Amino acid sequence: MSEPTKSGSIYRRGNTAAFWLVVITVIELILALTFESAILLILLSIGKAGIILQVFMNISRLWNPEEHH
Amino acid sequence: MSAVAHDHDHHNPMEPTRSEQVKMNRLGLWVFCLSESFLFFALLGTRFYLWRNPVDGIIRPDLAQIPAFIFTGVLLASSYFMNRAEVAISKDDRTTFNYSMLLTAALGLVFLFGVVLVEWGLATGPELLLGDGAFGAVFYAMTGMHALHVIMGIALILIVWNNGRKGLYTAEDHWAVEACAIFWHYVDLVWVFFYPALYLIGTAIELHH
Repeated sequence: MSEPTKSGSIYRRGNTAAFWLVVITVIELILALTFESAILLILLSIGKAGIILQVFMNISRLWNPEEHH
Repeated sequence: MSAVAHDHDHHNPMEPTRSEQVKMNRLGLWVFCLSESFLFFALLGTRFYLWRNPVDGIIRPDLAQIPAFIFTGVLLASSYFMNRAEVAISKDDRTTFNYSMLLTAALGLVFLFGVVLVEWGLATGPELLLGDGAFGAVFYAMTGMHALHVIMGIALILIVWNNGRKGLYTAEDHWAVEACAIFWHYVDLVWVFFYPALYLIGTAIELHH
């Protein structure tokens, strides 16, 4: 019973990451059309990159290879 | 007997085990991604050096926002399905793996054709010409280099999908899927910085043809 639950939570992790990536992209567009703040846009890009590196690319497997999905 | 069990039963101490091999492969792939980053950072540096003027500071060409926003969303969606495919194969869920890989490739193709047909204006007449000085040179260099990586990624996804369809990967041994996923997410990661650099950051300057 625990395996499907764990699998579901891992799928949910991807769903949450994708949701935030879309939200930040929308914020980026709104910011660009209203404030024209380069610094804020760069910070948001770094935030998106962090989500991709950690959740999608699993960078932590480099120093923790036993980490599974 | 599985390949993994076989590996343990007849392990030559001079040769790396499968898990050690995967560890080295993973490090090698990340070093490759890092080396590619120098190229993309150079392109980004060129963009911020050339796209500026004394009056407005950082500038950008006034390009259509909505298509670029939609295609960025498409690329993000493809990354989501790639992640789903990788999780699915690690759970031996082959149905989800197969359709997620195909969806990733399809969304990658939509992004590619979006950039080439819409952004490069081959279908609707060029919005920004290659000969438009620094604007044209930087825009086509950045999108073109990224598009080349998208093409490679799609080819890789289709190869891995085909191998997966033949049952070459298991929940325990699917390094090729992980490698393919890392590369595809890397392509997405590059676009995360290219999209604002090309379309959002700076004062929009009208192009007159």
